Amino acid sequence: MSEPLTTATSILNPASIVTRYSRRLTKPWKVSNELILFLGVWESGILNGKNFQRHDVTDGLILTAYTDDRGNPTVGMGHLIVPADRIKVGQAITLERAREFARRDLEQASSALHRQVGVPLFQFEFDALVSVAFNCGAGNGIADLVAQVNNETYEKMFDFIRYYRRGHHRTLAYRRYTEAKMFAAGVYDASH
Amino acid sequence: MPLTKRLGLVFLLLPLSVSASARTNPECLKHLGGTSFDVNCYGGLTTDIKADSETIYRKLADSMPRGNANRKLLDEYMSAQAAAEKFCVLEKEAGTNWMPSPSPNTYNMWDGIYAECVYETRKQQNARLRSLLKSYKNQD
Repeated sequence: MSEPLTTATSILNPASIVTRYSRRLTKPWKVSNELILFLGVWESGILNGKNFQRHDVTDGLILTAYTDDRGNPTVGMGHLIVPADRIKVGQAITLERAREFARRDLEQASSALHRQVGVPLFQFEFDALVSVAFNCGAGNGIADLVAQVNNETYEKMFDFIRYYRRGHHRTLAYRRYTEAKMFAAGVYDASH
Repeated sequence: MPLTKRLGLVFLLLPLSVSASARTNPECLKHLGGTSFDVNCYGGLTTDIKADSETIYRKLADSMPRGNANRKLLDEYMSAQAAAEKFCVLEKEAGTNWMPSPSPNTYNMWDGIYAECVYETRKQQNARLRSLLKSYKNQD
């Protein structure tokens, strides 16, 4: 069942109950498979085939565990393997398990948005915000983003996301553009 | 054009400054914008460039007569560049209110920015060593 956007009680005029409808969705939101595909392409470089490190990529995810350049065992969408995962370097996992790791890694970003966002969102709007939060690191990194979306000025979010926390790092410019497109038009296109 | 389709062309166009044993395709620099992608792209290229710098360092060191004061200077330069990596934490934490990574269990853009800084530092070192070797060889 959807949660209410906000709950308020008026003591001034008890008869002034206002019911508000929106085509947008209320909490709880869930990360979509389309977002995992989108982020997979950003993390692996391609949707399917061999990436720049010659790892096999399936739907944006690397299914055979490998050691990354910092020496961390890694699999899927850049998931850093922990002992509880019980995966050894060189071991292959299923696509569904890789997606589950991705969902788990996105949980921190998703939870932060659930706590802080108080306006309804389309699925693609929520996914776009999760992508930005995952990239910036949930916490102070998304404070301005949350403040902007809570203004309900949805039409201004395209420009806001485009320039959000990318600083002088031109490499982030195109990622932000694709995230802005996702928010504004529901386009999940990470090809670059 | 997809990354894989460019591989053949890239190998032909690899700059001479990249070691023949380089493992990471420099083409990844054109596809930055991820989180672990950026960490691995910059990280892999840094590993390659450090190996190349080590080879040049050996050539320079071997070219110096025993007891020459420049040998000590060269060693100090190499140590200073290795130590310089730690200052890249400033780039990383300037964007996070001077705090450690906001998502310690996964990479984020700040890890990529750190990796970029280390790569740029090592690239500069490599260019300088290469220039020194060229200067030395031009004397022959």
